[in-house]
Amino acid sequence: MRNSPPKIITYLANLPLNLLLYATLIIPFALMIYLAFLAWNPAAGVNWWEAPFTGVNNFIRAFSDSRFLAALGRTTAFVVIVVTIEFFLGLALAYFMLEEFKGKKISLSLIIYPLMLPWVVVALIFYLFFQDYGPMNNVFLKLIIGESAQNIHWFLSSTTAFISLIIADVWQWTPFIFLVMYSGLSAVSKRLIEAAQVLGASSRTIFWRIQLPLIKPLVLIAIVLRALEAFKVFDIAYVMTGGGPGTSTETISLYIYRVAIEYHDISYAAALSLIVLVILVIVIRAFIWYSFERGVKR
Amino acid sequence: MDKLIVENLTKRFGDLFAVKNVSFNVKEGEFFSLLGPSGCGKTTTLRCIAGLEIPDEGRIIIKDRDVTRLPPQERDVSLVFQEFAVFPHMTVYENLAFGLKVRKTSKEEIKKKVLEIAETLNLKESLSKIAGRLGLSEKQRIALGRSIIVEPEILLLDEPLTLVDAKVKEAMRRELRRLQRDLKITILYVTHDQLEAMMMSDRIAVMDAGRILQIGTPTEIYEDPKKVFVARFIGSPTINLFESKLIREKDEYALLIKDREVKIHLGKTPERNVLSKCIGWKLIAGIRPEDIEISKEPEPGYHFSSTIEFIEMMGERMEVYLKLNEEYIRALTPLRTDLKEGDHVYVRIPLDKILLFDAGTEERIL
Amino acid sequence: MSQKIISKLTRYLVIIIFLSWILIPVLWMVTLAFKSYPEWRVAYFFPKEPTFMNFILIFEPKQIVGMMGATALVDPVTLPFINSLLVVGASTVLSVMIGFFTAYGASRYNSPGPFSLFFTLLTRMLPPATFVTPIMVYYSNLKLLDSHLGLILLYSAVTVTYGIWILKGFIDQVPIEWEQAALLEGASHLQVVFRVTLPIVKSGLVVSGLFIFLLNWAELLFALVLTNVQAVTLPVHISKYVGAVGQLYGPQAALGILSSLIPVIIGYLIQKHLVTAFTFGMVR
Repeated sequence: MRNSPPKIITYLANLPLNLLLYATLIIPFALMIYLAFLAWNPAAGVNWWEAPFTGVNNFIRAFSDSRFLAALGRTTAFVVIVVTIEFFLGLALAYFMLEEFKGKKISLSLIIYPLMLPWVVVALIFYLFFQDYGPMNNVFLKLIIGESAQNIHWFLSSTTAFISLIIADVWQWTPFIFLVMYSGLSAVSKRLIEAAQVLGASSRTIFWRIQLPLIKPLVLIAIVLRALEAFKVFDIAYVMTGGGPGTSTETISLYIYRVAIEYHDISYAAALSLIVLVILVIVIRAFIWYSFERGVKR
Repeated sequence: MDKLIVENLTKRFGDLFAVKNVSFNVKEGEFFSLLGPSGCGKTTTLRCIAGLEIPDEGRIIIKDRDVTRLPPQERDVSLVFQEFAVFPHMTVYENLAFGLKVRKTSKEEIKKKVLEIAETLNLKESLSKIAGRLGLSEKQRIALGRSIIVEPEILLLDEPLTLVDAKVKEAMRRELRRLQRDLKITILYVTHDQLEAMMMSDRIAVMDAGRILQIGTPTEIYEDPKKVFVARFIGSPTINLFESKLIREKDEYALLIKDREVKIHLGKTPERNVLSKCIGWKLIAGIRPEDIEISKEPEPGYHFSSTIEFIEMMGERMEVYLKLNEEYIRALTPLRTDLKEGDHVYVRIPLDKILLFDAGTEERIL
Repeated sequence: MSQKIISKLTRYLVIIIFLSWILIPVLWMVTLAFKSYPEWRVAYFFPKEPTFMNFILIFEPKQIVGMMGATALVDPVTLPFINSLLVVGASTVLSVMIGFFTAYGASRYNSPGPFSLFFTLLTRMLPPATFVTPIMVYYSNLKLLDSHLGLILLYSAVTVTYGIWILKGFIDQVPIEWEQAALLEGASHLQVVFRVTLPIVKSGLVVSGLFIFLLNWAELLFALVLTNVQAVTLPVHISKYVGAVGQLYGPQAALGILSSLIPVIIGYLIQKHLVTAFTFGMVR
C-alpha cells in the first residue's frame, strides 16, 4: 500500500461518501440532539427553530415512562431469547449438515431462503400462518398436543402474541447463524480432522474439541451481528401484532415510531432515540473492549 | 514377526489407478520406507493403511488384525502429516495429551506420559504455549510426540522432512533414527528423497506409477537394482545409462556401448549362459559415476579415452563430465588436482560394476 | 455398524423436519394466494378451485368494494411496485458506486478516516427508528418528504457500508503490482482504477449490488415515515393491506408472492456469497 494517495483518488474516495453521509445522516443526527432539548408541539403550527427550550425534561420524562422502559425490557428479552434459540438451532443444523449426503446441495439452497425474504413478507407470512384457521393451529398444534387441541387466538393474548413474534424471527434468522457456522466449520482444515481421526477421536469429539473451538471468533461475530439486528425489530411487530394486544408486544422501535408519528411528539421521540443510541453505543464499545482484552491476554 | 502386511492393495480415483497391486510386509521394530517420485502412489498407500482412504481391492493386516475396512480410529496406528497438522488452538500439552484423552486415560497417567515425551523431544519449556504460534521445528516435534505417545502398533510418517530446512533435516534424520531405535517403534516412512530413505531405512520399497518395483535393504537396492527405474532413482549423482548391444567374438563377449563407440571386452565370464541368450538384443548398460576410474596415463585394461569437458566441484569430490560422442559420461572422483578441463584421459570401467538391463525391464550381470 | 445407520437416520430426520418447518409457512401463503374468497378462511392447504383472482385484485382493488363490502379502499399495487423498483434500483447503484470508490481508497491508501468508516457501520447497527425522527423533520424542511430523491439518498446512505466492506474485500485481492505496472506504462490513476481494478472486481460489484438491492427492497420503517402517496414503496403497501383494510387474506397472500419474486431470484444468484455479504465481509 502506498502512503500518499494521488489527489483524485482522495477526492473520489472521500467526497461522495462524506457528501452523502453529511447530507443525509450527520446533519439530522445533530438536529436530533438539538430537538431533544425542546418542548415542541408541531401540531400547533410552530416550527422547530421557534420551539421553546426545555432542558432535560424530555429525558427525565423518559426515565419514568413505564411504557418506554417496558418496551426496552421487552425488546432486550426478545433479543436474548431469539438469539439463544437461533444459536442452538443453527449449531445443531450445522452439525448435521457437515457431512456429505444425498440432496445436500438442494437442502443447503432451501435452508437459506428465509433470509432473502423481506421482513414485511415474513411478517405477512406469519400473520397468515397464525390465523385461527391457519396451519399453526390446524397442523402443528394438532401434531404436538393432539386432536383435541383448542384453537389458539394467537394475536389476542399477550404471551402467545410475543411467542408468535419469536417464532417468526427464529424462522427467518436461524439460517443466518447456520450459514455462518456452517461456512466456518467447513473451512476447518481437513488435515486437522484427519489427524484427530487417526488419533482415535469420534466425529462428535472432533466437532466439540476441534471444529467448534476453532470457529469461536466467527461465532462471536455472528451472535453480535444477529443481536444488533434483532434489537431493531419493527416490521413483524408492526405488521403482525401492531404492538398488541394493548402494548404487550411493543418493541422499542415501534414505540419510538409511535411517539413520533402517531403522537407527533417529536422532541420526546428525539430524546428517547438519543437514550437508546447512547445505551447501544456503550454496549457495543463494551463488547469490543471485552473481546479485544481477551485477545490480548491470549 | 510381521507388524504390517499389505496385500494386493489397489486404489482407484476415477479411471486413474493410484495404487496397483501393492504388497509388502513390515517387521516389528523395522524402519521401512516407501520411496518414489511424486504421484507414485506412496502417500495413497500410506493413507489406506491409516484408514483415511478405503482401498478398492486388497487387504491390510496390522498385527494379525484385518483392518482394511476399519475407520482410522480403530486401527491403532499413528500418522505424522507432512504439514504436521498440530491443533493450533490447543496448548502443546493438550496436543500431546489428545490421543490419550480420547482413550480415556487417567489424568495422572496422562501427565506422566506427556512429561516423558516432552522430555525426550525437548518440548518441556513449551508445554503451556499455544501450538498455533510455534515454529516449524516445534510443530514437527509436537506432531511426532502426540503420535508416539499413544504407543501405536506402527508409526506412519508422510514426508515429514519435506517442509524443513536443509540444515535441520540432517539433525532430524538422526533424531528420528535414534528415537526409533530407543523406543523400538515400527515405522513406515514415505518420502521422495532417496538419500533420506537410504540413510534411515532398514528396508526400502521403491514405487513408481502405483506399483512397487523393488523391495530390499539400501545396499541391495543400490548394488542390485532389478529395474532401470530403481537404478536411476537411487544414487546421487544419477547413474549413467547407455543403449548397448552384446556381441560375440569368437569365444568372448564384448559389450558395445553407443554403437561401437566403446567396446568392452567381457572375456569368458561365468555368466556366459545368461549372456549367450542376449546376443544382439537391445540392452541398457548402467554404470555409476562413482565406479568409473579415470587416469592420465593409459593404464592396462582401459576401455576408452576421452576428454574432460567439464568439472563440477562438490566439496571433497568432483563430478567429471567426459565426452562420449555427443553425450557425456559422468564420473565421480575424489578431489584430484591433476585433472583439468580439456585433459585427455583414459577410462576404465570395472566389469563387476556394470549393470545390464533389457531395454524393457530387468538386469543381468552385476 | 448400526451406530452409523442411527446417525444417518437422525441426520435425515433432523434435516427433513427443518426443511418442512421452512417450507410450510411459505406453502400456506402460496396456496392462499390462489384461493377465491369463499376459501380464504379454510383450514386446508390446497384450494379446491384455484384462481388468479387475488393477483388481479391487488392491481385493481376497486372490485373489492363491490365484492365484500370492505370499507377502506386500497390503492393498486402498481405504483408502489414501480416506486420500489425505482427507488431501490437507484439507491443500489448509488451505494455501489460510492462504495466502490471509498473501498478503493480504503484498500489502497487507508483513505477515508476511521471516523467515516465507523460511522457507516453504525448506521447499520443502530435501529432506524432511533434516527428517523430528525430525518423526518429535516426532509420536511427540505421538501423531500414523499419524494423519490429523498428515499434514494437515505437508502444509499444506510447501505453504502455494505458496498464499502464487500468491495474492499474484493479489491484487496487484486494484486497491487498490476496497478503499478499500468502506472509505469503511463496510465493515469483514474485510468488504472477503471481499466485495471474495476473489471477484476466485477463480480464483487454484482454481489454487493444484488445484496444491497435485497436489503433496500425490504425496507419498511423509513418508507413508512417518509412517504405518503407519491413515493410509497411496496413494503408500506403491504403493511397497509394488513393493518387498515381488514381481512383480505387472499390478496395479502398474492401481494406477498409478488414482493418475494425478485428477492428470491436475487437470493438464488448470490447464494455463494451470502455469508460474506451478511457479515460485512468479515467472514469469507
